[in-house]
Amino acid sequence: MMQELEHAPCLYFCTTDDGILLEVNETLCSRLGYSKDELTGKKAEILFTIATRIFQQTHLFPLLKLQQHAEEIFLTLQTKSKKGIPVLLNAERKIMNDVPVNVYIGIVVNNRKKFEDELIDAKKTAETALRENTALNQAKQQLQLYVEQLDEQMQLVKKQNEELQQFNHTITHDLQEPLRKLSVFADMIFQTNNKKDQQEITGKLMRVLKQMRSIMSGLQQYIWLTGNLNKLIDVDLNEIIVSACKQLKDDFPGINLDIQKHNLPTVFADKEQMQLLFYHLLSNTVRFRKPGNDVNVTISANKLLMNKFRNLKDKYKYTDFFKIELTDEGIGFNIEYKEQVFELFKRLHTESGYGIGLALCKKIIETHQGNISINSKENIGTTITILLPHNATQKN
Amino acid sequence: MLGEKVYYFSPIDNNMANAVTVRNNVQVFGKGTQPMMFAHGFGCDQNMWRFITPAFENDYKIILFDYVGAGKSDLSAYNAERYASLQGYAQDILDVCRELNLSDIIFVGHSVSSMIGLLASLERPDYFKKLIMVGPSPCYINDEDYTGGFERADITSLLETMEKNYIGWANFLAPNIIGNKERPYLGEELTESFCSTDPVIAKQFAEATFFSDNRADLKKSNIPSLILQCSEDIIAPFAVGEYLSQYLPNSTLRVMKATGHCPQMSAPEETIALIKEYLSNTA
Repeated sequence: MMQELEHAPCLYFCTTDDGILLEVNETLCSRLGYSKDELTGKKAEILFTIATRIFQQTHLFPLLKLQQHAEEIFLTLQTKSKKGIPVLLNAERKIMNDVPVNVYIGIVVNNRKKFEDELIDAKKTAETALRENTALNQAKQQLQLYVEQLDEQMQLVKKQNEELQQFNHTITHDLQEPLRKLSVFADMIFQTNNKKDQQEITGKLMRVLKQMRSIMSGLQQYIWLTGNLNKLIDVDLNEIIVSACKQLKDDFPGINLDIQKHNLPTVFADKEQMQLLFYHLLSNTVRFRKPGNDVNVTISANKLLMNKFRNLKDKYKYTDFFKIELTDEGIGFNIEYKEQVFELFKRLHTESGYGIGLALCKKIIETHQGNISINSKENIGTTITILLPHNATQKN
Repeated sequence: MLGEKVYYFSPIDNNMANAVTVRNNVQVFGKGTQPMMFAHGFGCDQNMWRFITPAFENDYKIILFDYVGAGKSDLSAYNAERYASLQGYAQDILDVCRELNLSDIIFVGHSVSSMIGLLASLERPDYFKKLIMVGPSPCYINDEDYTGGFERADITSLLETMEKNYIGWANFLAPNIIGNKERPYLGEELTESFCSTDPVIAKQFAEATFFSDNRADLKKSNIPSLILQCSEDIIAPFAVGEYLSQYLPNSTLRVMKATGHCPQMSAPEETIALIKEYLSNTA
C-alpha cells in the first residue's frame, strides 16, 4: 500500500466477495482501535454493527455486484470496544488478477450525523403533526356535520312537539265545542214537535256540521304538510304572488288589491307550498282590511347573513337568508297575541274563518327551515316577516 | 389510520387484473412450459436473479416481477395498509399467477420472499408445485427458545441506517407539504442507486420483513420445499435453517458453501446446481 494512503485522512479497506479483509489502512485501524494484524484476513463484519451487517447484505452487496460501484452510503462502523462511528462510504468492485475485490473509502461524519439526526427528527415531527392535523380536520368536519344535523333534529322535535300540542288542543277544544252543540241541537229536535222549530234547529245543526267539516279539512291540510316537501325547484315569488292575486280576486269579488313588489327573489322551494303560503298571507290582508274595498300591500325582500343554528347555544354558522316582509294597512291586532295567531284554529276576529291560515304558513316556513314572525298595530296595519335560508332544503 | 379495513387475499377485480403485469413489472420469457417464478427479497428487485435465470430459460417459462414499491413497479399502486404485512406482498404473487393463468409453479424466493411465497401457497396451494427458499427465515427476532439472530434494537438501528441513506429523498407517500413537489425525486440517478425506490416504502418493507413471525404457518404447508442455507449468513443463521427444516413439512435442507445472504449473486453456480439437483430428484 502506498504510504500516503496508509495515513490519509480517510478510512480505507478492501475485501473479497466473501467479505474477507484484504487490506486496511492505518487510519482505519487507529480509529477503530485495532492493530493491522487483528483485521487483515478477518471477515469485514468485525467492522460493522449488526444493523450495518444487514444493510450491507441486503443493499450494499447487491448494489456492488450489480453496478460495480456505490456512492455516499451511510453506515455505522464499530470500534473494538463496540462504539459506533458514523461513516459515509464510497465503494467500488473491480477485478484484480482475476479476483473480484471490493474497495471501500470512508469518511467519519460525526457532525453531519448530528445535523442529519436533527433533520430527520424535524421531518418526523412535521409528518406527525401534518398527519394529526389531517385527522383532526377530518374529525372536525365530521363533527360540524353532526352538529348541524343535531340542530336540525332539535328543530324537528320542537316542531313536532308543538304540533302535537296543537292537535291535542284541536281535539279537546275545537272539535269538542261543535260536538257539544250538535248534541244539544239533536236533543232539541228530539224534544220538540213544532215543525218550524225543528227546521230552524236543523239549520243551526247543519252550520255546526259545516264548521266541523271545515275544521277537519283544515286539520287534514295541516297533516298533509307534515314533513311533506315535494320536489324543490326554483320558484319565482313574483309569479307566485301574481297567481295568488288572481285567485283572491275570484274569492273576494269587487276587491281592489294593490301589491307593491320590491326585489322579490327566486327561491329554491316547494312551489305548491309557496302558493299556499302567499295565498293565505294575502287572504288575511284582504279579510282584515279597513272598511272599504281597497287593500294595499307591500312585499319586499332582502338577502342577509344569519346564524344557521337555531337551537344549539354558542354555535355559529352564518349563511345567506332571504328576509321577506309583507306589510298591509289593515285593521291590525293587539300585539299581545302575536304568538297565538300562529296556533291552529285560533281566531282573534270572529269574522275570520276557521283560523287555519297562519298555522299553515308557519308550518310551510318551518318545513323550509325558515322562520316566520308577525308584528301589528291596531288600526295601523300588520307586518309579516319571513326568513328563508337561501339553500334551506338543499341537502348536503 | 382512518382508512377502511383491508381484506387480504381478497379477489382482485377484472379491471385491476389487466394492470397487474404493468403494476408488478412482470417479465415472462424462456422456452419451457413449466412455469418458474423468481421473487426478489428486501432491498432489491428482479435484477438480483440475472445470474440465475440464464441457466433455466431453455427448460422453463421464467416469470420475474417486482413487488409493488420495488424496482420498476407502479409506485402509485402502493397501499400502506396492504403492504404493512407480508400478506399484502403475497397478494402480489397471487395476482400475478391469476393474471398469467399460472398453476403448479416452481417458486423461487429469496430471503423474505420465501415466507411470502409460503403465505401465498397456503392461500392457493393449487398455484404452487414446489417452493425453493433461498436464505429463508420464519422469524428474525430472538424469542425465548428461538434464535432468529436479532434483537429488536438491531432492527431499529437498521431502520435508522436506511433513513440516513434516504435522507435527501423526498418521499412521495408523505403528504405534499413535506414531499418536495417540484423535485419529487432528487435526480433520477438516485433512483438507480438503490434497488428499492421510495424511502417510506423501503422502510415499511423492512418493518414488514424483520418484524414478521411466520413460525406458526410452517406446519400448515405440505408443498415440497427446498431450503438453501448459506454458510455464515447473519440474516438467516444456521440455527434458523435447522429450525425450518424441522418444522416445515416435506422440506429438504441444503447447506451451501456460499457465504453471506445473497448466494444467487455471490455464488450463482452453486445456487443453480442445487436447484437443478432438487428439481431433478423430486418429480
